[in-house]
Amino acid sequence: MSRQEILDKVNEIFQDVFDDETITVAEATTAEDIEDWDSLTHITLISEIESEFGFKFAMKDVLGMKDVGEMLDIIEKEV
Amino acid sequence: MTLVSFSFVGFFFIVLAVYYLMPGRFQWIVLLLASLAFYFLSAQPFTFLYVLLSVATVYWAARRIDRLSAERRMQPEDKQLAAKLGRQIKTVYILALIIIIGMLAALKYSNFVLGNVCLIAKLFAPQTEIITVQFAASLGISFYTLQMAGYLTDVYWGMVESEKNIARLALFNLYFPQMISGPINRYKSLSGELSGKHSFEYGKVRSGIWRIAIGFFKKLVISEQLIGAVDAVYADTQAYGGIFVWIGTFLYVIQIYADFAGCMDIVLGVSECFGVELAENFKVPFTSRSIQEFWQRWHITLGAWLKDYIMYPLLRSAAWGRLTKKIKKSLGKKAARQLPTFLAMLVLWLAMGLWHGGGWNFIGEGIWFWLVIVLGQVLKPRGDNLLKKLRVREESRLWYCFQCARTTLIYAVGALFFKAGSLTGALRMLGSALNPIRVLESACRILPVINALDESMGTVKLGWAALGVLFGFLIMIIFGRMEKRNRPVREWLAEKPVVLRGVLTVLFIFGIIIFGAYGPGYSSSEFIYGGF
Repeated sequence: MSRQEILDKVNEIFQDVFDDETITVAEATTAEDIEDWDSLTHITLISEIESEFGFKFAMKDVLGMKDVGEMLDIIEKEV
Repeated sequence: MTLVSFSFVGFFFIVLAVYYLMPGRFQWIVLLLASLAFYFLSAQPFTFLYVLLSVATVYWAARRIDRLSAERRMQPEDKQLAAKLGRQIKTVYILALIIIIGMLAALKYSNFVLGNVCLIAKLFAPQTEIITVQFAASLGISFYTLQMAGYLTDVYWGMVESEKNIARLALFNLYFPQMISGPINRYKSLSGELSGKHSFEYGKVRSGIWRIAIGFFKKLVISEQLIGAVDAVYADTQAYGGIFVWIGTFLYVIQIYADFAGCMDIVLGVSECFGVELAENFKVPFTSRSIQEFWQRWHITLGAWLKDYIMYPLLRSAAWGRLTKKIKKSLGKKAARQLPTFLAMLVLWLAMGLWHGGGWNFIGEGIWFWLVIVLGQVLKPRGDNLLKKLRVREESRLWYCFQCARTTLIYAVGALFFKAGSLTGALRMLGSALNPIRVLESACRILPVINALDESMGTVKLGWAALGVLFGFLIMIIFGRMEKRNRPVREWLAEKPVVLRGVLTVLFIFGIIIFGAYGPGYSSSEFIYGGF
């Protein structure tokens, strides 16, 4: 799966979790850029990504990732 | 030795002088020795064994986890070995958690469990007597256990490396300003601060001492002065029902805030003087629009700890995953997102309640806040629609004031459970406070009660005492407003000319002397949060 394909899927998950179809995430998107992206929503996002891609993030990565780019790095490595 | 005592002030200045006279590399040792001295001056010496057991267990477990993890990293190809090491790591982690949390549970909840077991036994054998046991717990066990469990979990998750020096880990556990009442710090942010070299900075020490003075002010001028009135209402709920429950409870809200936030001002101020920055525990909580926001501004470090180490791991656990799948199949996507989260929140709130002590009233308090938050989330779409129909502007000042008042009222009900001592007592008080006839009847008795109270007081009359508290309360609100505008009073003061600064400092200290509850040989009551 290419990085762009992963990003597209992640984008769909974001739109679904935040219930907002206008959201478009990029590599540099951080929690600062999306109003409702708090720590609880972050955990929901992670769970949705895990069930979509079929792997489990390490807790270190869940708490340590800084932007969508880092999220993609981990997904790319796992799938 | 309590934080608000002449002996503590003396102790603090001696430690401060020695600390800055020592070369930087020995400063952490000064803090460790001072913390040990503080412990033995404040607690029963044998309880130190519990602290030792906690430090030794966590030190051993963290080092072992680190070594096993390194071994696993060295042979990533060998899946069988990795699985075996993974199991060993988990065993060490869980074993250490059982030891330290087991100690906390045994010392803190034995009587709660025993009492309930005896009550159930009484149903079958009426002659059963309630058994109680007396344990002396170590100082600040509820705070340091969470701090140590957090550190161990961070090592387990690979977030931090384990501490190689057991004495440094002991300092993280025992650091005297924060040991009794928190804030609950994270190893990652505090360890560097504690072991770093700190040169004397006049501005920092001055700012720390001002903060300590603000803490003394909140404790002595407000909290200590309100104890009498609050305790009177809560001690005799028959005589002081109806409107007195509301008066007593709102005074208690002011008291507990002044007490706990004042305590944090002293703790953070003392630590600031050593150049060690601790996590903030309060951010003007009564300016919150919702109770959810309130808990992000009140006892911040406890809420954050419970979220990071209990709620989120639960949400990510396999059991929660299975539950989510089941709900998704039967009730749909939205429910699958909400219900497991609400359930994890319930666990968090029960833990929050029980952390304060073994008692059904604490559980009641936790359930109350959980209910309000869950209902708030479920009803939010309807509430938003209603606001639109009523054309309420969400940014308007009036709506904001209404939201803050609503938050305070919700917190006050929780505080009533907290203070009442028992669940039945809390429910009785609440019933009386919500009964309009009882409220009206008691309202007619306000003046006679005030007169009787005034006569029972000594030389200081009620009016003067109330004026003193009111004066303190208004100043506390001014401080809060300045903090809300990101301009804390200490920063404002630091920019003023030296003469004005001096005059204001002297006036402030005189204010504490005139309006505070203290005197020769006076020892303030323990901080409310010092008892956990």
